[in-house]
Amino acid sequence: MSTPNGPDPIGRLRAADPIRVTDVPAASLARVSASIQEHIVTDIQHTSTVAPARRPFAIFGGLAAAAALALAIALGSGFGVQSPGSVGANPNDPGNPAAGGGMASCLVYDPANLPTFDVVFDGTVTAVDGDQVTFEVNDGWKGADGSITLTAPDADIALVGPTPDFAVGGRYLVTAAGSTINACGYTLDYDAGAAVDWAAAFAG
Amino acid sequence: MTDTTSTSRLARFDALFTEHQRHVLAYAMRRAQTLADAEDVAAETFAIAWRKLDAIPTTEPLPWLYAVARRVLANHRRGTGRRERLAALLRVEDAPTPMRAGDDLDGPAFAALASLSPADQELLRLVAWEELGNQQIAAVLGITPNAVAIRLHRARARFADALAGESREDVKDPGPSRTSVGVKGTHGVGWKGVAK
Repeated sequence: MSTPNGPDPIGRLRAADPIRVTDVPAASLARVSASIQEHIVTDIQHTSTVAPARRPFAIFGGLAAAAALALAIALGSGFGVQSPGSVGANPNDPGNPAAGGGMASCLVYDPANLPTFDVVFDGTVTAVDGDQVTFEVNDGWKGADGSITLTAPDADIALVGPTPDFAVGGRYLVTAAGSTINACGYTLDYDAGAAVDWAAAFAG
Repeated sequence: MTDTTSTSRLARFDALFTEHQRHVLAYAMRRAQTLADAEDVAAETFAIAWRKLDAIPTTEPLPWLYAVARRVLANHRRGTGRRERLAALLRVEDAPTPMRAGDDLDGPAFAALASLSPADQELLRLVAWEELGNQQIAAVLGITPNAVAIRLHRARARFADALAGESREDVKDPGPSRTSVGVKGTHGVGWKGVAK
């Protein structure tokens, strides 16, 4: 639009945009992301707490917690910066994809959280059938004994984040929410040091 | 809720956040007085989006997000006003520091914008900075696209007049203070140079 006074005034205002979308500070995005993650995790935990549960860890609550943890990866890794307060998923093996190495940034990984999951164990894979993974439990800290079959999360969903590439004979430290295996460093290739930490989380 | 629905809900939110986070934060930065305020507004907007995910239009969610951000911003300003009045009563002088105005801001353009009514300002910002069409602006403001077209036509004319007036003032008084004058009465300007 032109006016008798000259070029389009909207064009001039457009050129005066004080902050272009591409110039939004990454640190600000990271702070917003961290705030949202905290909100969602709190909301999900609240939902799973107040919802009528058939058992202490209802499937939805557990899955939601797992997904929220995965959300930490998705949101925390989207900005190319380390979000404030983030920690590596597995400090013993930062290169392990399952541990959230590389792009992933698990904001809420803490072995102290392990008792909040439905299923926690050290296991060896005996069969893989599609997304169904069967483990022989070597050391079951919670909700697992003998043999257990769990569902690997859908790797196509960004929220889920990386999990180990389960192979028959492989040994893993596993957590699950309901019947779904958690990601975000809460399921990883077996590591003796991490196993000690996981066992300690259930001591006492 | 089943495993599938809860997972898909998170996946949908993830996609929404990933695609629109920058737009929403930019929207807030253009209007808030401080960077911290803008971040708060963006975070609250997405928190509401999470709670009301099922109500968000799937085809074009951004105007919905802007509409929420607009209400959050209004609430935030009311809260800030209360805090500032209380701080004045208590003689507390630790209010957040507004972002500085950049040297390359178009002072006359901002001054012209600031001289308009808040409704005109918001219309013009949505057109120029958020680059929305009438239909999208209608969704943000909760009015009809026809009303948007009419109001926009008038706002554009008033802005052109104000800009012409500012330009005449510039010729009379071409001092360097025009930039800071332009900031008066508007919010969220002066973000260039923000450390990334």
